[in-house]
Amino acid sequence: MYVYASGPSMMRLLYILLCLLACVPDAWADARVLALTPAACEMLFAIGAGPQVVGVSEHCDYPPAARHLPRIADYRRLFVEPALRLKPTLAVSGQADFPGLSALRKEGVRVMLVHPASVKGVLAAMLALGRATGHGSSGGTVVARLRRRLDRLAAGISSPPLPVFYEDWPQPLLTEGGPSFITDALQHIGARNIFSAMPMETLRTSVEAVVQARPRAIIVPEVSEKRLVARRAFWRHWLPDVPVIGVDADLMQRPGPRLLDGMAALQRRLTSVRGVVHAAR
Amino acid sequence: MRPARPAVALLLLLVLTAGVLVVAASMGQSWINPFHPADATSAAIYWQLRLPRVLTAFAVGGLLSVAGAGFQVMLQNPLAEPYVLGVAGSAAAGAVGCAALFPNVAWAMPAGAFVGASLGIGIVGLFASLGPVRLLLAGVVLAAFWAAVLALLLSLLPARELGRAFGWMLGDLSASPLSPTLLLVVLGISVLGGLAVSTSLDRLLLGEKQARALGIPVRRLHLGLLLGASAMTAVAVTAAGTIGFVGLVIPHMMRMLIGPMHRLLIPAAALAGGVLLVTADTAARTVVAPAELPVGVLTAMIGVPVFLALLVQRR
Repeated sequence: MYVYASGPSMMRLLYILLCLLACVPDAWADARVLALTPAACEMLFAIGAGPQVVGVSEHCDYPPAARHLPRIADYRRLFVEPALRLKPTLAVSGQADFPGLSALRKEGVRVMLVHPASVKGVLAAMLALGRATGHGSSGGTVVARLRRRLDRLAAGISSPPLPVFYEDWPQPLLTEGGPSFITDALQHIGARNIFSAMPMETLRTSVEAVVQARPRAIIVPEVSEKRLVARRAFWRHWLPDVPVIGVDADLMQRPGPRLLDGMAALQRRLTSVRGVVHAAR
Repeated sequence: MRPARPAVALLLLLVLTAGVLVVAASMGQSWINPFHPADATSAAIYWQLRLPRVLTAFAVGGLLSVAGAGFQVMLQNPLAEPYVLGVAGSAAAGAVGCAALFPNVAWAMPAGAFVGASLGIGIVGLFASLGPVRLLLAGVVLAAFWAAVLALLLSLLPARELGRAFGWMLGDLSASPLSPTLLLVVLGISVLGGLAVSTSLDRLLLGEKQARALGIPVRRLHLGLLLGASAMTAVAVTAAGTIGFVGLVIPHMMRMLIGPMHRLLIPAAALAGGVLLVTADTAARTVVAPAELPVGVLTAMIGVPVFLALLVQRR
């Protein structure tokens, strides 16, 4: 009897406990996160985990709230001591062997690797970060919204892919290859990276190779207006009819939530390029 | 085995050079015949991209090789090469420093390289009077110093400048700020200068004392060699970054093939150095086309087997 009586009462206790747990906003509210890349930082803030981010890398400048957080890494290494002083429980890194990361692992800090090779990979990484920080549902909402935007971008594609050259750096001439998320992002907006068949993430190429691949647009992640002007002047000599389009480097070069903004802006510019080309024919 | 008849070897080298220059300029992602180009674009690619690049490679290879021969005879050390006295290190430090100071200026790196190389030569020049052994030691220590400066600058450089810095340090012939004509003229002057002192250089091979006994003004010759060979190195580095191996190995290869007399060695080194760099650069821009490899990687990959084969064969 005693045993049977205790069963339901124990269950009731469990229910109460569960209800109490549900009342706490999330079970991981005490997670203390280090964002070691600007993209990771933007993802964490976008899914609502911003308040849990306690330290960021030097180049994390978005959203503005991230600018005031302690800088515990640059693109080269993690500064182990100041990082540990923040008592982190989770570190989000872009590379598994990021210098200094092993010291964090040894101290029991969980390390998550975020290195998306595609736009879908960016969304998946955001969902994973949501789960790891207790923002599964808000992360899911944000990702669903981004996915709808991605669908709208796909719907905006009307004609066959426009071949484009994405100029990472002019000297030496660097560009993106097949495994790069930028190549994938271009595909989602109806453009085709002329070097998408190359097996390297980034590669060194030549003016000759670009000229022979006959791109219909050249995309320059702009760092300054001056550089864009200089690149326009350079390419006009080789490909006089091909427009050189500047994109915001922070939007296009970071595999984070704002990539969609960069893609949308670029798609608008490319649509006008197509229009010009059609009109010319 | 005795060296081949020098005149014949030199003539063969000349023919080889002409052949390599013609073929290399036509080679690329697609073959271009300069006299019957497929279209205007092909013609532009040939005359404005490939030919200048091939000529630049030839001149830079020649300069490095002649400079290497000069350093080897002056320092009386077979391991001497254009960068042994730290000119490459100071040039690279200058280039990277300038890239950090002027991040968006295209010519920052070559200009910085020239300033750095000149500074490096100036400092080494202060030790020129110490004689070859101490000069070499001073140079090696200075090279270590410049390497440290370079490492310091690289660790302070912002991320997006790093690719540029490494690209430059491995050599890039596609963007020389100096015109190929100018480089060829400098090469021509260097070879003529070398020929003018070739007898003195031959006598220097006997050792300093003997050379002095034969009436050679050794101190003046040393200083002239140091400045001349360093200036050649500085020009080569400014044009194309630091390309290794050519300046070390080509002079030795030519000594094995045509003997140690500088009257023949210097022109032969100029031609062979040019041929090696043109070959390496053509490989760099074709083997993984449309991608490119850094040329500095390929000079060694092509040159090492050839050199080792010669070393074994010419015992």
